[in-house]
Amino acid sequence: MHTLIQVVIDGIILGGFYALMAQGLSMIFGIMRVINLAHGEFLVIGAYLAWMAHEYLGLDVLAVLPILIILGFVIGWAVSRLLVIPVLERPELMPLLITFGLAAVIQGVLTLVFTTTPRMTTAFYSNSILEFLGYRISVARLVMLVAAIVLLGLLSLFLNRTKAGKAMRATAENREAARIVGIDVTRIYCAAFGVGTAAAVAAGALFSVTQGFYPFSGPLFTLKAFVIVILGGRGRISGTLAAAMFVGLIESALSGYVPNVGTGLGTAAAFILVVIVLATRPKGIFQLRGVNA
Amino acid sequence: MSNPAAKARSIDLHDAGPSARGIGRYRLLALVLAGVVGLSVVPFFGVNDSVLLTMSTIFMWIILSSSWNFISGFTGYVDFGHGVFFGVGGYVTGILVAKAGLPFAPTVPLAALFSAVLALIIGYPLLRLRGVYFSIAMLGLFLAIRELTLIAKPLTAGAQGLILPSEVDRTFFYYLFFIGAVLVVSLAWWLRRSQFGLSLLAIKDDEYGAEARGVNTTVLKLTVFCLSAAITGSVGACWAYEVTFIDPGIMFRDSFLINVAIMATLGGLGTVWGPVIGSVVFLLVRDTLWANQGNSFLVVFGVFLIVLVLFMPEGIVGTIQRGERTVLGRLIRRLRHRGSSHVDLSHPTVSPAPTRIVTND
Repeated sequence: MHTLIQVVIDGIILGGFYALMAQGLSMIFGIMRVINLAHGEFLVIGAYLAWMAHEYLGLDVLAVLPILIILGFVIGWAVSRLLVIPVLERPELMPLLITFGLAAVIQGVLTLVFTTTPRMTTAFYSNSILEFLGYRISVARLVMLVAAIVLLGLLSLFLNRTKAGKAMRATAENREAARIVGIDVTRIYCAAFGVGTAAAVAAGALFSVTQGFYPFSGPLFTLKAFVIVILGGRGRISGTLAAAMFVGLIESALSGYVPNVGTGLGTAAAFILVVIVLATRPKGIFQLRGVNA
Repeated sequence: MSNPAAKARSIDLHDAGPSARGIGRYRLLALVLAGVVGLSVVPFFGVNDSVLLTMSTIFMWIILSSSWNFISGFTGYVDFGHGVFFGVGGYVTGILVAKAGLPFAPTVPLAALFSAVLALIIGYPLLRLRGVYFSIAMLGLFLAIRELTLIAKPLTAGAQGLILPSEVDRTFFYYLFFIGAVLVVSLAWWLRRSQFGLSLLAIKDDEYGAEARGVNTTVLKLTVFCLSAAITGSVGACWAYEVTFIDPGIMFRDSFLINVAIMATLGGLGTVWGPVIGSVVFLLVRDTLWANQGNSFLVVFGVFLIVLVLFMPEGIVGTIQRGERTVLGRLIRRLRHRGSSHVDLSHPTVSPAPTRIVTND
């Protein structure tokens, strides 16, 4: 029983982080219909930025988080404008290849600048552990969960209450109709890519306090984000959240109950799951029929 | 000795476009035959092992990128997990040779068969999906099988790896991959001209339209997917035997996925000669960069890919053949119309191929 509850706690924390990470990819996919293969690399960039902020400026992750989010938005906007928009009308392989090339460039630059030594950001709460009825939760992970949920809430408010957010949802629903009613679709695409990248950068910054990272951590994040986007169906925050919790719980259960190989098995399980879901329910298991935004 | 052969071979590649009709089919065939004969006598002229290794590596990637081109270039179903068949083929041979003590030769057809069956099992549900979903599912499959290979220690020895008792004879592998490359390119040649191949191209252009015209798209896609998997699986088997040591990290390399994609895209998707030219150019460029730049390889290579996709999405062969939509293609077209048919041979985008081939030999 004790193990079970510990596994559930770990799963939920992991799920919160996954939800923020995957929501970024989900927005880009849902609105632009583009798979961003450099998503994990943006996450790693966020992690390195947070690490640098603490190492060289002595600033804490939570203090620089707003700046990092803005920076992520700008990076995403620029990438989208310069690389993705020009190939958007071309066959699907082209955006995939171009973001794959971008991922390689980012990995290469990070290796040249930071070497392959694993890093971990320190924060004032780094070493504190919360003990509650015999269950152990590291404060850093708890901060990650809370911050991720707050950011997801803000994103949800943005999408549902602001004009720009509504325009994004309209574009996701029907690009041509959105164009007809006067929405600048290209700007919406850039903004969506920017918001998606900002979510990745924020997730990376929060993650960097809980676990070590190095320039090649990206691809695994990208793939896990894929898995969650597919399970959750595209665009919906609630779907992403549910799918992220599901994947987080599976991973923590496998690493909690299966000794030694559990972590690898968790990765494999997530991917097997996605193949099954794609083969049977291509629209995602948490996607309600006919409801879209 | 190999120089004239290589040159002859590359010239015919250039003219594989509309101007090929200008030279005439028989001259083209003669040039290809001369190239094949020239390359097949290379090992008799005392070249050292490293040259043979480089050339057989190029042949191997020609086979791999051509087989990827069968599913992704022809039908437009981008397979980002194709490396799974390479790894599975390698492990079939690895397990049978290292654990069951079988000789190498009979394991290759078994590896091909196993890969094809795997492709059939996963292709049946997945090929009904369109576009990116198929790509992602294949990527997921690739990673899942790699993890499972790591975990299934009794069978695969996990991260410890398997040692294959084999005598490495470069000449043998040179001919093995050379014959394979000739066969696969011939197959692509045939495919491009057959009803089967044309139906595949129709799937890429308009799948619903092809279905409406009575093309059984699911059967065709499955057939070509299994064929492609079998070829890749047998190459994996041969490669595993060549390197004599395999582990999941070697057999299921991430770089495999992007290499085949770049080679086929660089050369030209859905063309016969595209993967051939793409493999040669990519490997020579990559080896040059590895040798000179070391760590910055990823940066240079990524920028190269981005530039390629932005400015030459039809690839080298595609740009020459029907690239009027791109800047370079229009330039080539203009040059060709202005001068004689030889002018396009000196164009900067295509000239690296022959010179690089010649210098490397």
